[in-house]
Amino acid sequence: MDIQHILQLTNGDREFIVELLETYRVETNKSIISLLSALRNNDSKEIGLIVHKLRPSTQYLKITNLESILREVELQTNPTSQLEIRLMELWEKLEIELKDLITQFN
Amino acid sequence: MKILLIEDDKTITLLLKKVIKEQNFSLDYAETAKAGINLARVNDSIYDVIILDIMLPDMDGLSVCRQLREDNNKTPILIISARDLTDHKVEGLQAGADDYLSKPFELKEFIARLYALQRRNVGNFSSHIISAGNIELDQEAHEVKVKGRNIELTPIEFRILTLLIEQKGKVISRSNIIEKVWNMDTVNLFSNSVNVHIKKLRSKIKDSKSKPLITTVRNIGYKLVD
Repeated sequence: MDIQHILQLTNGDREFIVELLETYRVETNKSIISLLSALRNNDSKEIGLIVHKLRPSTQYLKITNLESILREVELQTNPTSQLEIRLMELWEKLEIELKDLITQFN
Repeated sequence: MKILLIEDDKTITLLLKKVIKEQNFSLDYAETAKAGINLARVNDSIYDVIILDIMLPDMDGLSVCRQLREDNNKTPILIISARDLTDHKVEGLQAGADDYLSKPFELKEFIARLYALQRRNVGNFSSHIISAGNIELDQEAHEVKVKGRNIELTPIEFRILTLLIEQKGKVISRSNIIEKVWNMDTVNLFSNSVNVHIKKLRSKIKDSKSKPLITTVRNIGYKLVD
């Protein structure tokens, strides 16, 4: 995660950073749970909708590793690449990272 | 500037609210299409710009845009969407939007576009002479005539009269007058001020042969009748 970018985006407002990251963490967690379920069910329409919703906020915070896997999911370029597992693992790591950052700014 | 934001992404909403407030703009917010349409209807023409997301939970933003235009809502609409293809932008503009920004956009560009939309909107009105009953108001020349006779108004009175004429036949609440004329949210602080200005305005545009043009709608606000 690019802390410099987040500081720049928020003019270094620590209180706002905490609110922003916490909102993103909670909302994205809900979306990832729905996305994993849609992936399991192979529901391409739902996958498209969720990814489409998730991408802008992820791009704003420049969380590039999640952004790139979302792009992959959206394009479904590689159905054999175990996207579901990779996404789950990545989100687990990211969530820990987000929680650490929130604690750091709190 | 008074803005209506219709967006369901909470992270983006937080960011936009922050930059909008940093500009000292006043903001109403709706998380669903229906709530947004309701706010736009209830506060008819009170907004300077409507910011509209496309993917809303209950209705798509393009339908919201069409609905607002069908309601004869002329407020400039800025669509913000992750759909970034040229065809998507064309679709948005054809639905009645005035501008389109693809997410993610630079926040300073977003603010610049809000100002540009407001300027364009003000420009639309300034070339018009608006009227009600025996009153003619020239926004460009900043002149008011009652039965062809020039009358002197203070800037605040002029802005109140402009608002009442633009919205003639509709009730405008005191808080809406404050937001539009003073461009502030501190409603209670100035509510008596509105009454005082309306009283002075009435006496200046009074036509002895007819009933008052500006009527009081008790506990709500004022209405200008032809």
